[in-house]
Amino acid sequence: MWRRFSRHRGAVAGVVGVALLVILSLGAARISAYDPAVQDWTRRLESPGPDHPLGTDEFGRDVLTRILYGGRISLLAGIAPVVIGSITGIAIGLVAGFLGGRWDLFLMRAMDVLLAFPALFLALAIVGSLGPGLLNVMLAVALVSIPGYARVTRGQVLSVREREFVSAAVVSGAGVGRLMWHHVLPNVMTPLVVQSTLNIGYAILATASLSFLGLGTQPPTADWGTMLANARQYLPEAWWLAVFPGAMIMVSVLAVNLIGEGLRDALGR
Amino acid sequence: MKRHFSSVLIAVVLIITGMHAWASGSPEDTLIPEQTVTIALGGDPSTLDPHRSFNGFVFTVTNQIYETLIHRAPGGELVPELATDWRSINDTTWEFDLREGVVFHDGTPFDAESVRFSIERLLAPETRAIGSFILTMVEEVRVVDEYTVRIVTDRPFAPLPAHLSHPVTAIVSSTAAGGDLGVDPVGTGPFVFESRSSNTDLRLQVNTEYWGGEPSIQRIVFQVVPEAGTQIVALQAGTIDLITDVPPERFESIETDPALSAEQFLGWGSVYLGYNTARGPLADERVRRAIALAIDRRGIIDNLREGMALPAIGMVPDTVFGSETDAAAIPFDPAEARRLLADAGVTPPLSLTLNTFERAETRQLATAIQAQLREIGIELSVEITDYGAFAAATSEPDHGLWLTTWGTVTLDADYTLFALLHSGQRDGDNRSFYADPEVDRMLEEARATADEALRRGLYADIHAAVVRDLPYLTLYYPLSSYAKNDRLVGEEYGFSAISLDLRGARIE
Repeated sequence: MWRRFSRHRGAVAGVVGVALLVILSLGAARISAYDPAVQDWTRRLESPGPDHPLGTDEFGRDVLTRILYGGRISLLAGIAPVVIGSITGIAIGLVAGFLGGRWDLFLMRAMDVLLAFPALFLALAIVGSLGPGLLNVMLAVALVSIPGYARVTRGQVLSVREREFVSAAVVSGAGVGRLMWHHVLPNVMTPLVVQSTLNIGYAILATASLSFLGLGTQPPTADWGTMLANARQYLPEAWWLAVFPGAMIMVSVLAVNLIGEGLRDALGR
Repeated sequence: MKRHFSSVLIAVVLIITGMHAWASGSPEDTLIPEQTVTIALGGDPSTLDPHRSFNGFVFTVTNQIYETLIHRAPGGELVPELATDWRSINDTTWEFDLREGVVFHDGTPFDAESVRFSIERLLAPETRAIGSFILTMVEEVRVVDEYTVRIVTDRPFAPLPAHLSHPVTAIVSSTAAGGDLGVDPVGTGPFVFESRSSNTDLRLQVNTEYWGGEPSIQRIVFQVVPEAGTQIVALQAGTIDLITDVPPERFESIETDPALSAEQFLGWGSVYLGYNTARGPLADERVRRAIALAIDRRGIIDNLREGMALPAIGMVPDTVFGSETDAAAIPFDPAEARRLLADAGVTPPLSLTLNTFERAETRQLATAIQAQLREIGIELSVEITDYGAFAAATSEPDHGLWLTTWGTVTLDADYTLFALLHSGQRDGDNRSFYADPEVDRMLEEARATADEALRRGLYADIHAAVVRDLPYLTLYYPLSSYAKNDRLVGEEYGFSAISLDLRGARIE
């Protein structure tokens, strides 16, 4: 499997891209001499130059520094909702699919309710009621991703449940918990790994969208979506404020999706 | 043969184009351009009933349809509109002579009954008018004869004529008010409601029976365009004729465009930082003063607002009666600020919250203030929310700092100072929870007397008390601005879009 993955050019490019993003954002303090929050009003809206390779923003803050620090938030916003959403969704799908009956009915109808709303609108409504902030945005993005995991897991569980090795385990007296954890779960993970990876890209985009609408990070920290939103106002005179954060969102989502596709191909799906 | 054919073809083409030029040549010179003005609105007017709103977008539209007894001229003076003259009879009674021969758009004649009906409707509890506080001092509206009306107040109230120029006091048709004025507005103004399609397009047409003579402009189209950048693109493309509140960073590019012009001038607005004087660390005056000293207000005006604001000492700009006269300005002095904080026994970092609502200007200011307070050891957590959440947060007893904009719409200091400083307003706009018996007394005395010199003196003392106690810190007085396509001429733009007067305007 790893051989197939490593031969997939796109996947390798994706891994390199993600690794680069992680190194850049974690090493922000070493790469840049500036503080992302320190303002210098005498150097507002400077175009990219030797002092500020990606220019300065409306407060005279270094754009490169803000993109690097913002990357931490955007990457976290990509991974955290996927972790929370997948664990919850997989648990729900596992219980619904394996136990069936009333459990199945109740849990899957609840998932259908969530699915009835367009994901981004639902997230918008959730953040609207919880109040703006990064944590709430991540929770909302996590919540709307749960039904997807639950449905895929349940489908897989339904087919695996009837297989001989499960019946064998039942006959040998394994309990429900042990059956689900040791026998069913490992055999349904493959498509879920692929889906989770692809969802990271979606989560980065969704967080950026919500931040763009003013619901995400509060000043002075900024993720790429917030930077993009603030750039709108200065678009005619300061293109660099929008172009660089926009490019970072694009590159990161692309890299993650390439990995996801590589995994899918390598796992023969 | 081929050559022959092509020369015939050329001849035909020449004849056709020649005929076309002849046909369309001359009339163009005498053709009057279509007299339609398209105006960008930054938000959707929720209603067209002036009594049921207190919102600038609503008033921008309703002020073209309805009129008030008294008009605020662009120069600031109060001039006749539906009232031709007015006088104070005694301490609590004002008499108004009304304009004769005015009819509402639905044919109802305008008379003293219309005035009584409109003011009583504004004050009636079932109207649930947010803006009824403008006239709460009115006890009775007495019809003397068909064109004379007396307004009796429950206490002496000098700024009453100024209040009667406020758009919320619009005179409405009593016949039409039986229906829904929010959807079918009927007033006496120069323009008549025509149609409203979806939420983006609202049309008015000229009132041919207007008492002041039919305006040249035949139609006003209001287009809801929330984004300032989009408004500017539409202005440059010629699809919108007039926009308001030009962002500072765009002002120059519009001004230098030969087809457009932009104006900036001192309006009635203030932008202030409020402190909770009742609870928490901000209850200590030294902490409030330290914060005031740490904010470089001059730098904010010159750099972030690109000069589109004036420095402030008091709470209302010079356009307003009763603006501050000679109180001492608080300088920018971070060293002194740190000393005061140490004096107050504050060990940095001090954590405080700042609430504001989502708008380019407030976001910019909150971010700047956050960075400047960090320099003196105050960690400010900024919460930028929608206006509703902001209003709810600042009415909580334990909120901290907040940042907001304010307009002294009546151009009389009473409007702002009473609402923000009187101890009786602590469950209203006095979110600072400021309570000073002497200031209360001066506020009450100033609104009770008609003696202008005495009022000026009292307001000067109140501004001095604000600088002394710091329940609020006015950051600056923003300059109002608007930009237009030069084909629109003759418009009068008072203090904000609310007071846009198109009666003498035309399209050239």
